[in-house]
Amino acid sequence: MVSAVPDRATFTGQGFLRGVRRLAPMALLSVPYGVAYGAAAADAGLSPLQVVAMSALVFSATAQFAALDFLREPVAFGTLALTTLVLSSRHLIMGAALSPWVNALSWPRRTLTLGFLSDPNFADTMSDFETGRRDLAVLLGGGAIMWLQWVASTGVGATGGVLVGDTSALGLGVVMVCFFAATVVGQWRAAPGLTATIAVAVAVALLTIDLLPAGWNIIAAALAGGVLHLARA
Amino acid sequence: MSDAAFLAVLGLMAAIVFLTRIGGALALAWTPSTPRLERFLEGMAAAVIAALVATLLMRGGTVDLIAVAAASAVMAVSRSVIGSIIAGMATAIVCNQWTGL
Repeated sequence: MVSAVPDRATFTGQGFLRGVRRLAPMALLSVPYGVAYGAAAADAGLSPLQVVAMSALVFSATAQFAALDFLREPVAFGTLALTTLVLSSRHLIMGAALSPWVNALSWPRRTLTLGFLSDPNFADTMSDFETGRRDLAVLLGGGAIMWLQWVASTGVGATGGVLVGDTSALGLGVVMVCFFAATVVGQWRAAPGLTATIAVAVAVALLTIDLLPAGWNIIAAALAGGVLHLARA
Repeated sequence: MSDAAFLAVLGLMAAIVFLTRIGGALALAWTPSTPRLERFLEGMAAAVIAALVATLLMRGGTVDLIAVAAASAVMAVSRSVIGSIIAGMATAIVCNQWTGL
């Protein structure tokens, strides 16, 4: 049996810059969200330095928002660990989906690139893959610009120097979900064979949203989509 | 909260999130690549983003749903991500300003 060797992954400076460029508009549009988190974290008792440290090392809006409920002693470490794990668990799926290419990189590059893995740069890298290129530096570049923006905007928010009004009036609240939706539509346009996979993923995510703890419904949907895609091969 | 407690929270969260980031690829690092595995992963890659959109929409309001519909329509026709997001934002602004949604 011939094993399918994935198109060789590359890791170029050009790819890094392409990742930065592709996600720069998203980073800019997400600034008010970061400022809002910084302000909320300051309200919860964190200093600007603590907010910056957390944004830099955790780099996960959902996990960081959830953690604001745990900032009193004695800290419920067990619940905090489980909450963080559940809210981050979809990274496992994304890392697995990238594995044929990301595992072709050296260990330092692999660890660095995956360290910046998040929803936007994963989605963007999948779109970039449609061009036939497999440059993992795109993932790193996109992650780096989102990370920089997150650290800076949450830090500014924590100093309380900037007041954010109601961002919904500017339509900024829908930016990320529209970006992810556009990615799905782009994938579907490039590969119409994905129609059933996408439909099943949406159905399973919606059907299990109230049955499973937050976050696990996405894992269930991703596994269902993968199995269906395999079965229809 | 004390600095020690904060550092413990920070360390715990940073470690768990990092492990989820590298864990998926690590788990498959020693698994030989086969066409079947790749087919499964390809389906999962599309499914995880679609499931994320569905989940965000379920938690969001009617405005998010209409904005995503507009963004998706523009993407389907133009294949422009930026155009799609502008359409979604414009739709949300219109909904917020001129409708009671």
